[in-house]
Amino acid sequence: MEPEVVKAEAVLPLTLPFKKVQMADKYPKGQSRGRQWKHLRNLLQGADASSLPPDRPNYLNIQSPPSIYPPKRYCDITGFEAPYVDPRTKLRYADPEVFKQIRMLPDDYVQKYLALRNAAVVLR
Amino acid sequence: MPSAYRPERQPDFASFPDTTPIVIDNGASTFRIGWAGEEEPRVAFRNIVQRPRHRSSGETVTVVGDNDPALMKYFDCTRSVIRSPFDDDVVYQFEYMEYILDYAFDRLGATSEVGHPILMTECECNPSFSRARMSELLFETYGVPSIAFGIDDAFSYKYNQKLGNCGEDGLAISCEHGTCHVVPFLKGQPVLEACCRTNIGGFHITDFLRQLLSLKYPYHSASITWEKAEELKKEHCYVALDYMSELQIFKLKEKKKQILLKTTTEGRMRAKQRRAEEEALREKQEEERRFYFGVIFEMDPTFVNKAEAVQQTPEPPKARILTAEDYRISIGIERFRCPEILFQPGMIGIDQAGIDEMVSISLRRLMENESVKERICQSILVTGGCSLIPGMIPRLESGIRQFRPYLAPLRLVRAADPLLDAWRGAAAFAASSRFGRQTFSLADYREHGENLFHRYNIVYSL
Repeated sequence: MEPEVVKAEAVLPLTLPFKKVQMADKYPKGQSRGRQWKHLRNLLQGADASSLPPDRPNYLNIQSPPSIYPPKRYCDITGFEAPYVDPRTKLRYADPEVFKQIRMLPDDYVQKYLALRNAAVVLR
Repeated sequence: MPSAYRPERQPDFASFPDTTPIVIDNGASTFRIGWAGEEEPRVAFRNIVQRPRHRSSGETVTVVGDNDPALMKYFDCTRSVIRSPFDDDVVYQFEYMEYILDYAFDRLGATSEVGHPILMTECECNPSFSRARMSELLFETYGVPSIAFGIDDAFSYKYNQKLGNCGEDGLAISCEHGTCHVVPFLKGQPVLEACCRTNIGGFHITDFLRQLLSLKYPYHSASITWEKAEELKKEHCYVALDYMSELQIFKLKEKKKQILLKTTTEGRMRAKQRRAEEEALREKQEEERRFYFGVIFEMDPTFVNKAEAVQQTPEPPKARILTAEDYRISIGIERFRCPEILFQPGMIGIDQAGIDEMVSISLRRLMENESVKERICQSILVTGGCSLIPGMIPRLESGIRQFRPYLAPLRLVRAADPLLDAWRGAAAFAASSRFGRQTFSLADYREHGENLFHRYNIVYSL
């Protein structure tokens, strides 16, 4: 290690005197760890939903419901109110100027703009 | 706080008696650790882990928190991503959590053991598996004698109640890193049955800004990092009081700019045309001159046109000179478009209510009569990092007013320090002599297991 890295203590030491179990004992070197963790959604499905009474608050049921207002539509490019939708790319746009622009957009950009509001076509 | 801030190791760990609790505010963006009863946390750093490869030795090393970019050149970070132990506001990656705790206790100055009770903050209704794994980690790896978990927003509320910013009955609106919470309080105790959460927070604002800018400036997309976008957000973003009218104003401004641009471009076009005409005229004169030379040449074959004899070497094609324009990005509508997602999560495809509407949902879930609700609405505390965005409080006030009866009293206060109050409240809580009753030990955990957490709720008013 370079002296300035050591001096700044940038790297976490491998063994720490105050720990009962060291990192290297828990996750031995050279052993493939694989993906031992799950996403939060899977963990929640496995654990909480079944074992908890539904009338008590838990992580899932305190989520807020959808808004009671109809969602407003905004132009994907400029952010202004968008009365129109381009039937080909499904992008929302505010005025003809923007329409010209979106017809010039390459396909991956169209997908990126759609992904911003979680509307992109995902191929699996 | 500069981005490359590295906390110093604290020298006085051994001077605290074993009974002094260690207080940890485990926030999704920042980790803060310190001693019960003190005013400031001792150590604070960004709650992230990187595992890059050391360039010269090839070892994989662990780096916690932000680091000096000058040091990071010794590490190959291309294959390591910045990781957080959090998904939304729940800790789920305990390997990373362990690195972070290692670093935190090391900075706090622990040498032989961490023999102190721990108070750690968590989110509202933290799932019991997360609590269980966290306590396992603390008990088994660090040998902690006892633990208590408490909600960060509740500590923040209690701290501000002590300062006189809010009353015993009230409501906390908290806009954090990955989520927003609204929690009502009755007699100083949070009513979790009535709280609600929307999965949107400061992280999403920054990410939205980053993506918008990198789509607008594809040329710069590599250099617009999340950290840069975060800085831009802190410096420039604001919340519009009325989004629609702000849009109108902005659109008018934009139109004016376009008209100006159009007139200037038209002027430029006209100038260009004039130049072209002059050029044509000169060409014509040249032609005439050549013609005369031809006439002279016929008369005198030895005549040499000196002007044309000097052949000009063709100039190499110039590379386009990069001007300031190429290095400049402008943020206009993004300044208020990005924070707006807190009020309209639909803008980034999240189908949940915005923070102003969450208050009405929370009040609806609260099984109390109207007079209690009225009292609650006179003591609303706004906390969390996003409450620092300018314009937040007036906008929230006008948003909440729409859901309340006509002329119903309403009072909103920003927390004294939206970032640190949760830690301070927790430190004051842990310093109380009755804190010990709120904790549980390894023996309790061995006896009850995960069931311990199903009914686990600490009492905040000591």
